[in-house]
Amino acid sequence: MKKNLHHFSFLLLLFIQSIAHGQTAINNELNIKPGNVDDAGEKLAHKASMLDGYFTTRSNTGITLKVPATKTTDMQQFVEENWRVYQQIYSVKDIGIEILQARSKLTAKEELLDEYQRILNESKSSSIIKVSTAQSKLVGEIEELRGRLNLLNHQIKYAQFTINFTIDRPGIENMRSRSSFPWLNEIGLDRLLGDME
Amino acid sequence: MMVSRMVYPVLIALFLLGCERAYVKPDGFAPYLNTYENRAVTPDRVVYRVRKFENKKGGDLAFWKVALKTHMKDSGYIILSDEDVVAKETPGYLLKMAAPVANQDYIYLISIFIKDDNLYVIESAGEINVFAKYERNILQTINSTDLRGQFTN
Repeated sequence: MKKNLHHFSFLLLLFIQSIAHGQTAINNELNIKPGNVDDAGEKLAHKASMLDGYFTTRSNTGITLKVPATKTTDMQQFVEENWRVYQQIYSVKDIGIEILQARSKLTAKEELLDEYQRILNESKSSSIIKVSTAQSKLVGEIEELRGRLNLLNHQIKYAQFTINFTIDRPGIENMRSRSSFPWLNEIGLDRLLGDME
Repeated sequence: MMVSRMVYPVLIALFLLGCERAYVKPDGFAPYLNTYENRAVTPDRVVYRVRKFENKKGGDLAFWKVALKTHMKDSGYIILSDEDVVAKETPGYLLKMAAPVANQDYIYLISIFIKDDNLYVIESAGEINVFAKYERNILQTINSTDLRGQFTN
């Protein structure tokens, strides 16, 4: 029942994403408890690769994957089938306006660059240095905007999966077995540390 | 005569106080005051304690060795080593274990000795890196401990 509800919420978010003009960045953060973190990392990286994606970071505490946005459901299903998901934060951000703004700025700056070029061609030698400096600054800004646009487009194309590995440690309070010899029930690290508090 | 009556309680109190301070503790440890057991601790939380239990079942050392090791293993402790040990000519058994405490790994030492129908248990524990600094002192203290002198009761 709980798993069905979880799956329904996920599908609902995917639906919301699909009606948001398709210009959305998907971030999916999941916490799982794999018995073997190396094996889990290997499996997840392999699955991402099979889905035409890749991993960006990988350690014994987790892995970050980029998976084509259209294959988000496949990746999600793979994780759910192999491990129990203890916590999930799924976010869909509409970055359409951000892209539009970046494009507008880029167009304006490119037009300005053309204008600078025209001035530069017509100007006298004394004003060349000033125009040239402004032009260089503008080229830098244009490159930055192009990079930003590439990044935003990449975020639309690939969903990010951040999968955190939680390792269960038994905890000394659970390290206890009953003995028929009373004194053995009186010893243990939890008792020692507790008595010495 | 009156004076001597007043002096006796003071002498007894001083004697008892002297007994408590006679506890043997490893170098670097500070004793717990007002306890009938020998308890001590370092500033970085390595603990040391000597306890006494009545050997009700009358088991010998060989018997308790197996019982202790089995019990600790069944409880989930990782056994690092076990060996014979001596506390001032009293033969005993020393078990070194590892266990997780929150996000840290701890070393837990237990040594047992049989003497005068009693079972003496010396325990010590601390975070794995910190414990290493004191381990030698702890083992030296165990070797030199007069078990009967560790209790005021």
